Parts: sequence; C-alpha cells; structure tokens
Amino acid sequence: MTRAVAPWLDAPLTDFVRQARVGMAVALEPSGRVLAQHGFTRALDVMAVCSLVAAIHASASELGRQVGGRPFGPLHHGASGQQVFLAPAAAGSGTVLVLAVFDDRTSLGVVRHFFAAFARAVATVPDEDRATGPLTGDFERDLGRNLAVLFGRA
Amino acid sequence: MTALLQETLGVLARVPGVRAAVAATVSDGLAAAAVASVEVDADTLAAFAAALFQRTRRANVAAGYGDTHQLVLDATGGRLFVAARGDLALVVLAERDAGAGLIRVALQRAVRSA
Repeated sequence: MTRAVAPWLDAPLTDFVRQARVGMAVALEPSGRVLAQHGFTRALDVMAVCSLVAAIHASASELGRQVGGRPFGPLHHGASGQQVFLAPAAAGSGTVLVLAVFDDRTSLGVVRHFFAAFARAVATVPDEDRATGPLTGDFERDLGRNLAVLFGRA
Repeated sequence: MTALLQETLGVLARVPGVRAAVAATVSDGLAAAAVASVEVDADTLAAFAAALFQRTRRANVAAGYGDTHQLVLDATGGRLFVAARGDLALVVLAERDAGAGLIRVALQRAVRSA
C-alpha cells in the first residue's frame, strides 16, 4: 500500500508501483525529506534509504556537472536478484526523486516507461498543491511526523 | 554489432506491411537498435514486447514445453512478432494484413544471423 505525506504524490506513485510492478518505491525531496513510500515495513529503512538516495543523487549530479556540465539522469543498478532504479522528476518548480526496487517480475524497460508516465503526472502539479508545509526548523519532529503518516500511525 | 543489427532490422522492415523492427534485450527490455516508422515508440515497443516474451518463455518452461522460439500476437489492428536467441530479441510490429508467413520466415532467418 502506498502512503504519502504529500497527497499530490499518492495517485501517481500508486499508479507507477502497480503498473511497473516494482516491489518497493520511495519518493523524496533532493534534501532527503521523504514524501511517499510503498512496500517498506520499517521507518528506519525509509530514513536510511532516503539519506542514501539524497547522497547518491547529489554525488551523481555533481559528477555529471564536473565531467559534462550537466547532471546525470536516471541511475540503474542491476543484479541477478533485485535491481534499483533511481531518477529525478520535475514537479512544478521543484524536483522529486524516486527510488524503485524491482525484481525479474518486471524489467528496466517497463520501469522506465511507467516512470516517464509518473514524471508527466507530477510535472503538471501546481506549486500550491505541491506544498507539503515548510520545515518547522525542528527536523526531528518533522521526520517523526512524516514517518508516522507513512506507516499509518497518524 | 550495431551495424549488423541495423542491417538485419532493415531487412525485416522492408517486408511489406511492417511498421517497426526493433532489437531488444529480453532481460532488460531495452532497445538496442530500431527501424521504425515515426508513430512507433521503439523504446515502449521494446519494453513491452520483451516483457511479454520473457513471460511466455517462463510459462513454456513451467509447462515443460522447453524454450520459446517465436511469439505471435494477433490483434484487431495488427500483429506483433517476437523471436529471440539468448538475451537478444527481435521484435516486428506489422499491419493486420501483412504476410504473417513471410514475416515469420524473415524473423527466424534474422534471429539466426543476428
């Protein structure tokens, strides 16, 4: 079941997960702030994944700028079992990062296709609908509140 | 390799009624080369045709029928042909009235030479 702190992400992420047949997915801001998740069972996992995804995206973007002047786009790590797909999508004037974990029930081509549909859906969300509330300055409280929503405790 | 694939796809694309010929990896569903008319999205065709072929291949293995050589999908508006050797799939999208026999023979030859 997809759970979202940001309601505007609920339908697009649900559609992406269902159609692309990915096992787990998380959507977050480039800062690492979690926006929605599907398939994770522990808050600790989501926190760790978001931190890692934000760091990978920041590193890959900077590496792209250093070598070619432009940030790199989607990233895929293949393995014999599970695979990960990480990509940014423009959402209004901001950016949403999505990490999807999938296995051989689907394929990279199918995941890429439905991620493009997800990106089209979130690209048209108005900025006023996209607002998830400003950070209060108390990061721990924000994190605790968001994780509570994502895991159905709020 | 790409030149050979492109040449192979060119042969398939010249069969009357063929709208697209795409080479794709079965496991990833990514297009490696394509000869397609402008309205065909080769990446999408590669992704879904490869996924379909992979599922068919698994179903045939599960049923004890062995390896899948070719898949033909008939639809109201056209036909889809997929043949594979190992992880390379050749995909042909054709008009409904295109010569299915001719396409199947060409596809088998192409997959042997690719």
